[in-house]
Amino acid sequence: MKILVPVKRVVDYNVKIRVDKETNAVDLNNVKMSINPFDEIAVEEAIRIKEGGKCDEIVVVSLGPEQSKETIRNALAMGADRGIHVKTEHSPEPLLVAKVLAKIIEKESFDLIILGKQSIDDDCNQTGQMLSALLDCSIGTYASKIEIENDSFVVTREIDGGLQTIKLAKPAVLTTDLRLNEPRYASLPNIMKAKQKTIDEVDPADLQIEMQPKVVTKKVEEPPARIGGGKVDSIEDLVDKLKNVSGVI
Amino acid sequence: MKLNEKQLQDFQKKFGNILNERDIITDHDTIAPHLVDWVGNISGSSALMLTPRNSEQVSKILRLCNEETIAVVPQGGNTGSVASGIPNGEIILSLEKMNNIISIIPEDYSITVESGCILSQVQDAAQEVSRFFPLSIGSEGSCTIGGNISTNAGGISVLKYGNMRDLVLGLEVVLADGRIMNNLKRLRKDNSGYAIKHMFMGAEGTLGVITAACLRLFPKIENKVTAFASLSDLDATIQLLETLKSFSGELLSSYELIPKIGLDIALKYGDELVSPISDPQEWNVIIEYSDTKNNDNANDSLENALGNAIEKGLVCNAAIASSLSQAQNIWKIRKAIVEHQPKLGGEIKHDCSVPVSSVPEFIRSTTQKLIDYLPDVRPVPYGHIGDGNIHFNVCPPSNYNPDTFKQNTEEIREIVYGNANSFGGSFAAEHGVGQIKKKQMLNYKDEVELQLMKDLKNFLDPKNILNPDKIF
Ligand SMILES: Cc1cc2nc3c(=O)[nH]c(=O)nc-3n(C[C@H](O)[C@H](O)[C@H](O)COP(=O)(O)OP(=O)(O)OC[C@H]3O[C@@H](n4cnc5c(N)ncnc54)[C@H](O)[C@@H]3O)c2cc1C
Repeated sequence: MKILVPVKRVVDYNVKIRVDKETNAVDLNNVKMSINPFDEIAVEEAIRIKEGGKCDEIVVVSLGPEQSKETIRNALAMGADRGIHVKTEHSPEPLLVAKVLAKIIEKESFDLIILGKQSIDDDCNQTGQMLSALLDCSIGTYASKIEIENDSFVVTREIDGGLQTIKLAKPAVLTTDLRLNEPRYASLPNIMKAKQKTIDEVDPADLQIEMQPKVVTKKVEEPPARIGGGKVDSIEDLVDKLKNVSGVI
Repeated sequence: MKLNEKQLQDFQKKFGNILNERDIITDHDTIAPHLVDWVGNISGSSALMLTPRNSEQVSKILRLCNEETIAVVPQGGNTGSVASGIPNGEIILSLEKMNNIISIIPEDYSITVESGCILSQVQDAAQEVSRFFPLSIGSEGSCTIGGNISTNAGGISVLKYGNMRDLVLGLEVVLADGRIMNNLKRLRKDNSGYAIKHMFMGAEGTLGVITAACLRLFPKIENKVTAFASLSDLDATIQLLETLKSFSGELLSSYELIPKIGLDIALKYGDELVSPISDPQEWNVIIEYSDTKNNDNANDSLENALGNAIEKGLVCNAAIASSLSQAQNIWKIRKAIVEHQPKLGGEIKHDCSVPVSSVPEFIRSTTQKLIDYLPDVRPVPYGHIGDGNIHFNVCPPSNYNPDTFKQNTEEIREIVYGNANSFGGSFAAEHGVGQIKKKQMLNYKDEVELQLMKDLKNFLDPKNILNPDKIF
């Protein structure tokens, strides 16, 4: 079995996001970038399937600028086998990503594609679904458990108000939820080994895909700042504030 | 001395001429948290707490106290580890309301603050102007700059930036008689006579009340790389440190010892923590590199150095955090050891230092001595090994009665501190003396040095009104 895991380079989950007013975009200057956490979970799941003896090769693919290679290396250091870097200037929107992935899957066939349910930068939650439509294959979103039974996947999904278990035929697209697993750290020997693993470079033009975005960002704004509370010196003061400042009484 | 009811009312009135009424506090519930040390081991008493808002007020308070011979205990965030800020009947002089940032001058890499500023407030203010204030300790959300200076706090980045003392450019101090010493300069060089300011650092509030400080800032850190490494044996901890320093000494900011027993405590009791590597050994370290450049430089350096250490057989396995979440998890292990250690049936804490090269032999021999004294005792030596500062905490054998164990405290402390002393070490590495190490001061401190300290105290505070009965 062959597994494809798309991984995206995003602003680290723990970084405080700032808006750059001049470029009308999130400020990416000198900001720590990491692998999208849901994609990291996808990589971990693929590795666990391989460690369970049910997979022969894990390929990770990333669309993005040169530095996306770091994200691929990161996945390779965790234990993926090979990388594909589709070089684009910016990070493309979900439909374009799905089209590129579909082309790659057309070239070499995969039995399973595991994606993050969404990337934490744009929160689109679309790529997996669009990809399965383009491939016309089965899909299981929000997976919190994946089991392999002969030629099918038994997937537990996190849905509103509970869990749902479904059975999918191969090939399938799965998207990961937070509770699927706890990703491992890259160990130093594996980081060293990852440096020897191949990363193939692909130009989107060679895939005959126009990387022209369809969505135009009009404005990026920070959420309104929260006005902090204050201490009052007396009950009278409190009553006064409630009456005249907040107007609740 | 303790105030009786009549005196209390009398003084309340006198302080009323200096302070606003709401800054003179007699309410028991408000004072209560200021009477117990952070660990909850030592408690004291006080009927009155003053919360001045500026150094003029502090000056007037001390002048009055000196005239009337009533003692005060300065207090910041009350996070100190040796109960040096806990009053025994004295008035509490809390600096908590003096928490303004006076000025920040990025070009001078300096920030001037009132001493009641919380450490994290100063870190954030520096961050705002693309600068970095490096002191980092577990209590940074509650401890104050005045407390940090008065304890000469250490923490996890001493290796690169030094102790609090090294981060202070100038001080404003109110003396016992109420005079204000103004040394609030942001100079890098000033050899005009004695460096008097240094006397007040690490003095635990016994020589003067620090009201403001000018602190050093550094270029902003853009990239941190955090790793967890398992070592082949205890000696390898120091050999690896040497390797890291020779490869990339300027980047190395933290080097913390995590023994297997500490890791086990963290994994068992900590909140959903996982071991960064699958096969941790007896001795492990947390390594952090800090770089002002946001590129691969620090990652590559650390990978190279660790790769070299694996080849040399010093390191068995290591993991490098690939996201800030993973880095935080590594540090959570370190924090969980501090927090959950008492769950092993009690603990006797020690904060000692020895020369860095002596750490392995010190840990081995102390462990042996402890086992000779109480078989199956469980030492948990961890902490700032890069500075030779080991928190040599001792937990009882499993299923041992915690109260019986406590009765051995004095003997166990003598074993650990006595042994540190025989290595030319210190019984108070970063936490000071306070109320709990006065005996060690007598046992281990050079006699002449100790006498000089007493002379100095007597000279600056002849009536002994500043934090009496602490240190010696
Ligand atoms: C979870 C945790 C982790 C910690 N980690 C570390 C660590 O890694 N390294 C380390 O060194 N310490 C550590 N500490 C100890 C402690 O936080 C520091 O000693 C801190 O510097 C004390 O600051 P504070 O404001 O709480 O001082 P307090 O506890 O209020 O006072 C400490 C001493 O300073 C005196 N003092 C306070 N303010 C003034 C002032 N303005 N003028 C004169 N004297 C004053 C007091 O009288 C007292 O003697 C830790 C504590 C906790 C709770």
